[in-house]
Amino acid sequence: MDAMLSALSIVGTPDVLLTAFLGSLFGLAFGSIPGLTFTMALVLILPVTFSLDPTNSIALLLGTYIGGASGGTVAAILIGVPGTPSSAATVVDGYKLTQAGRASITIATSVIVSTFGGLFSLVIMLFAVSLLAKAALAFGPAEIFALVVFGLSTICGLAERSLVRGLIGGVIGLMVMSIGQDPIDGVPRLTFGSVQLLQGVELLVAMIALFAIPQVVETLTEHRSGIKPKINATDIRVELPSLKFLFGYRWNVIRSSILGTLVGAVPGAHGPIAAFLAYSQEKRLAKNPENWGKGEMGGVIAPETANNAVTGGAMIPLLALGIPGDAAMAILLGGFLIHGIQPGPLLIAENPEIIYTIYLLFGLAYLMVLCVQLLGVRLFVQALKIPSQYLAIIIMVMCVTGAFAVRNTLFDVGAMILIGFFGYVLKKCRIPLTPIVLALVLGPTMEREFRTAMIMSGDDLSILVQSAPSLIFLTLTLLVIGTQVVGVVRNRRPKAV
Amino acid sequence: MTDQFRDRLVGVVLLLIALAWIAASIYAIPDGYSGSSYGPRAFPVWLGVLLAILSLISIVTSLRGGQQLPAAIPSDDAEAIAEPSGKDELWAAATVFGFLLLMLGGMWLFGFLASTIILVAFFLWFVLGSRSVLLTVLLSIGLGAGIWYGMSRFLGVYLPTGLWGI
Repeated sequence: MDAMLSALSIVGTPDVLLTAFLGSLFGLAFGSIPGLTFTMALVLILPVTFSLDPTNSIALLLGTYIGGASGGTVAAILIGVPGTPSSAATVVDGYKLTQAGRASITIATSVIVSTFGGLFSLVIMLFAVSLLAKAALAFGPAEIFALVVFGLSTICGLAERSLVRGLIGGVIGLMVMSIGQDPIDGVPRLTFGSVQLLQGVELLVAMIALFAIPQVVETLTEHRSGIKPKINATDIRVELPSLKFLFGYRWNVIRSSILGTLVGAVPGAHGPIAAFLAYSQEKRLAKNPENWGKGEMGGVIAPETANNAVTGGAMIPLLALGIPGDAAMAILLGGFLIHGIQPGPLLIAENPEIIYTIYLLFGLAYLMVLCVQLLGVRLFVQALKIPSQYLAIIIMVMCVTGAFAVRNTLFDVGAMILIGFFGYVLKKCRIPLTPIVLALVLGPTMEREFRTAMIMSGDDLSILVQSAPSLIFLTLTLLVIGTQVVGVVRNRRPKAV
Repeated sequence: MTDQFRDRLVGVVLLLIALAWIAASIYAIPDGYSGSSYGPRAFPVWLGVLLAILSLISIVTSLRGGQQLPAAIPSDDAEAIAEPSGKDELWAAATVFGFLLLMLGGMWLFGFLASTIILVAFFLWFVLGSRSVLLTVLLSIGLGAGIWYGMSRFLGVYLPTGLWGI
């Protein structure tokens, strides 16, 4: 209790509050601009912390991390281009809701459920940090591979109108991600001597290209043809969700929070995996799954809750064992170490006030992000009042900027144009683009973990079914695919008159 | 072009891509060093085979009369059903990819700031037919200078200055 009070007195000082607020704003800015990620924001903010005391440094780093994790939503919902890979699943229904004139309520709802997801994971972090950390470390390459394969089964749900086309999209995404340096042996794969291609296709560049460019072409086609834009400026009204409205999605939010926290605790699993898994899980459980993908609020709530619950989940192995689960956690760990904070079991036992300070700052950052985004809803939706043809030009410039900013190279801008062209052609050929994005997100992890498992087992495939978690995930995958195939076959049969 | 013919064409093109991909994976990817039989070639080859199988399914489906896809968005709204002409679509695609390619070349040569201001103004005036000088000037300079200043000043991301260092 003394430790908690001590932490409260530290966190309550104006300078810490201000630092956390500035960090949240910085993170939000990075998260909301397609092409910029919170990992990049953390890299840039880390040197700033050298001149700050440890508490202010943690406040700045956590504010940036949480702001960045939450910031991708607005662009995903408003313009259909995810600010971060974690928001890719949100685009599916979020942008359709915007086209239906419900942008403000969608953004506000997603901000509220994101905060809930983040705070839920904080509570889990408070009470089950040691237990979950140990359980998460039991996930080896075989288990993570099975989890990712289960995530890929989401393609069946994202395939829109044809399972075969959805699967073709997924395979194309996986093929694109296999270009570049091999993740295990380091040899070049299908780079044909290009040095730049060795780094492979950058996920963010591909996402910007696939989501934004076909959308911009469609917008300008409608402008040229004189077709009324789908988003009517006069229909745009600021509407916030009522408690009753939110309460209607309580089970979706709770299930997605649990899923996000658990996925986040597994080293190597990230926000996009949690978001797509939550989307798929809630679509399967929904009363009206046929409405998903056409502008269903549950399709925004599930991924947004899950990808924010990942933040707390990812902190669990970091704080309890000092093990960073992803790049952002590694930068946070670096920031902690620079200021003499060594996360791990000893920190929890010997310096509980530091742990409580981290918990409080984590919660505080979420509340600050919530306030900033809720206050900004009125401003965000004003963007939709810009005539669609001018918005298209703005989005194109933002795409170029975002693609360049990922790795500071014009090669990525060229890659974005090329991928955007193929994305447009594939869309015209009625091949859905979302499965491609899902495969781009999950593909590298799937291959890396599978091959690591094979090296560990001496090429013995039975390692994939030796543990309970991998067996469960693979069985679930077969069930999902089996259900879809049976559904397709039944639909093909001529109905009896 | 009917949907069935288009599906068949797409299936054939994808099948050819899959075969080329498998050949490239076998001949262009070197052996790995890990000693595992699941080396660097394994995944690309499997993916090529999978794409070939899916393409064949797609071709066979289209030959058997095509898959009856449900309507994308059932709607009674006449405007929602209205289809733009192929000419308009071609114009839009040419505009978007033309703009992006010119931006790429412009950034390499003149840098982000100059190329954005010039290209946005050009597209607004000549391609989109805006006849408001104020809008053209404000949007082009606002976008170019705003993004340039915001990215470098607040986010620490420096955009290209081009060969001439503008």
